[in-house]
Amino acid sequence: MKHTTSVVDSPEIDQPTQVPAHQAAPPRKINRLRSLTRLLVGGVELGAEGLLNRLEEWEQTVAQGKDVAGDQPVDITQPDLKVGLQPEEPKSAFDLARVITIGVIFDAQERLGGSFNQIRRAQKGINRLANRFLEPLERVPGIKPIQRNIDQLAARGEQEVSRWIKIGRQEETQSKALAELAFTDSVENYIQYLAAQPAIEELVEDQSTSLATEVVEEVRERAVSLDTFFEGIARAMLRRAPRSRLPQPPAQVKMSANTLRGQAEIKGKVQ
Amino acid sequence: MILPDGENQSQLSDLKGYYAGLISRGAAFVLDVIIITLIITLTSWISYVTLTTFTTGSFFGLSASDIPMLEPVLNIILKPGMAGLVILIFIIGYHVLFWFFAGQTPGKAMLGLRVVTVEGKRVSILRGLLRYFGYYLSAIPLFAGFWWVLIDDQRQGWHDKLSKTVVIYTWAARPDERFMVQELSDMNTQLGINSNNSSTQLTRGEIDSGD
Repeated sequence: MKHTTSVVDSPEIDQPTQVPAHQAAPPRKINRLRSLTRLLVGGVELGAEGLLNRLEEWEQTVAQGKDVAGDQPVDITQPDLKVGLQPEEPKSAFDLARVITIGVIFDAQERLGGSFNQIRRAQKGINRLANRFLEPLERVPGIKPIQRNIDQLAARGEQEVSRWIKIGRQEETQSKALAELAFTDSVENYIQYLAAQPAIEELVEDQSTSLATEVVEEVRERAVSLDTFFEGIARAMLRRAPRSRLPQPPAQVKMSANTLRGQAEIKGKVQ
Repeated sequence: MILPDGENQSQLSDLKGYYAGLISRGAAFVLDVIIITLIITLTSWISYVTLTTFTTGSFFGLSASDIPMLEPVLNIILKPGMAGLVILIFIIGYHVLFWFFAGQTPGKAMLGLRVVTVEGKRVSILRGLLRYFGYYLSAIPLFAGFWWVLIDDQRQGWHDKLSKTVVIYTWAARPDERFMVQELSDMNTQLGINSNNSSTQLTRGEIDSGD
């Protein structure tokens, strides 16, 4: 049986053909199914990696009994704990069934972990026993061809496993790179799409305008505070009446804060 | 407290249309000085480069001798003192024309101030010139004419008295909520102005009339 030993030699991906210089090179064909598989595998790998990293952090946070909304440590004896570290008593049969199911799941997981160890130990024991029984058979004449065939099968199996390992390592790297690129590209495209939206542009413009307006207002307000302060001191030193006891400006003066009288007249003359 | 105009204090929430204080006006003046300086500097530099190129070499292939009547004009422009005169005219024009057309220079516009007559009308060109030259009058005795704003009932300086103008707030003026709140409150307490003794109350107190 001919084995494919390299991904590069895989018949699914066409090799670029040698074309004369005066002809344009045809575009390289991509195996969509393989690319999709890579994307899925890479996505799962990256997602799992990110999740596991975060999981450790979250577990530590929960274990320390911190409030998820902030960094303040909370008293775990408080009944209204946001994180829910305090176990609740089941209130109904449904709650009880739910709690039992959850308990079974976690207990089964623990036991399964323990079972795998037992299976491994049993397997070692069986191997030793089998070797002890099979060793004398090696000296039996006629057994050698059978043993040779078995060895050849085992070698082929090992070769296949090595090939899978090689393919797996190459594809894993490529899949992760593809998934990362797909994710980054998608995020960038989405950001560009959002940036092109009129509503977002307006929001950014409003924010910039708001900032400038805020600065101007802040300066104005502080100037008014200082006006009041220094005037109060000066008037007090000279024993003049405080401003609160003075009359207001005339109405026509106050009105000129809105419109400058005479402007309409000038506009009329210009027109 | 009911005011003479019938307005209740609680109805008023800002100082729009009220007389502007010294610090606001001073800040506006500083901004105007900066703007004027930038314009003069830029114009001077461009003029200097252009004139120097014209007189010593050529400018886009043209030299001073190629343009008729240019040399006499250049002789006048480049006389000593002429630049100072041009700058002075520019500064006067900047103030007077902005007061006439908008009631406010760019610096005053940024601080939300406006110059109007005591009757609330627009400042004319002549009145504007009078006000501008009143600046010198206010400045001569150690700027006493400007400090006068602190103690005047209509917050007028000597230049305002001369030209019969006032400066008012054109925005919903109010003191800052955090800046100098304690100081203003302490001052209220010392002056015994309001029982609540808050800075906002003091400024609103401006709108109270004397009993």
